Amino acid sequence: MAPVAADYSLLNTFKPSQWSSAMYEELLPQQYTVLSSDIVNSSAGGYRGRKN
Amino acid sequence: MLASVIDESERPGDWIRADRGDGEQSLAPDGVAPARLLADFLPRVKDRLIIYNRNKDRAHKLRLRFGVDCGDVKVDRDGLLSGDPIVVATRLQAHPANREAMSALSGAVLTALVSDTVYQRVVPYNARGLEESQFRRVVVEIQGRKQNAWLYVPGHQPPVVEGVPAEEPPERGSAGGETYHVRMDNAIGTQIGRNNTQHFHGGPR
Repeated sequence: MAPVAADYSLLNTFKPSQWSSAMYEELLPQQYTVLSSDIVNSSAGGYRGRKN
Repeated sequence: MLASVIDESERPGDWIRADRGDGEQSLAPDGVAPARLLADFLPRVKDRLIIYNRNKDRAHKLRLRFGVDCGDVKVDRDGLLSGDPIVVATRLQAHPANREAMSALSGAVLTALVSDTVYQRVVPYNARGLEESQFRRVVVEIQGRKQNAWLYVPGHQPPVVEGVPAEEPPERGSAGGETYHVRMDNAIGTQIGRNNTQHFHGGPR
């Protein structure tokens, strides 16, 4: 049986060194602490954008 | 309100904020220690709320419920957020135990249900002076898994609520006691009952 030559040309399509750092930042998850909040009494209002 | 407190926090330019109607998701970058968020950020929000509420009648007092978790979050090109911490923080914020705590403490302007992941990064080390006595363990079920969460009410002793186990805390990583069951098939989460029932079995309140 004749040996099959591997085609590595596809691998050359993905060269991380050619990716911009912005692409990495967009694609990779980052560590965050998530604070999810909501207003208990909706009649209170004035939540967002108000500077005290 | 939150914007001004974030502005005074570490790395304010690196925070991400997402509007959620009557609330928001505020994402603190990795460089901001969770201990600072629990010991400094939330009490500062509480203080602002107290000032804001000074001349408000009861119906117009602003009170906030928080859910807190940490971990990997992906922010896509359109600013959409995804990842377990987003889901867990949202579930904790809307969890019945959090709601009950707010109802039980009429004088509290802020309650928080903190994930065990965040708690374990802070409290065992007494980081920023935080102590176990300031938190109350609640067993919740999120994404089909029982887990500990911790009720935290800056300026108050966390009340006993449903979901608080009667026995001592189990070994870390396991969770006994009574649980809420939260179905995970929608954005809000639906309580379908404690221990898969719709009625109260007794226990601490």
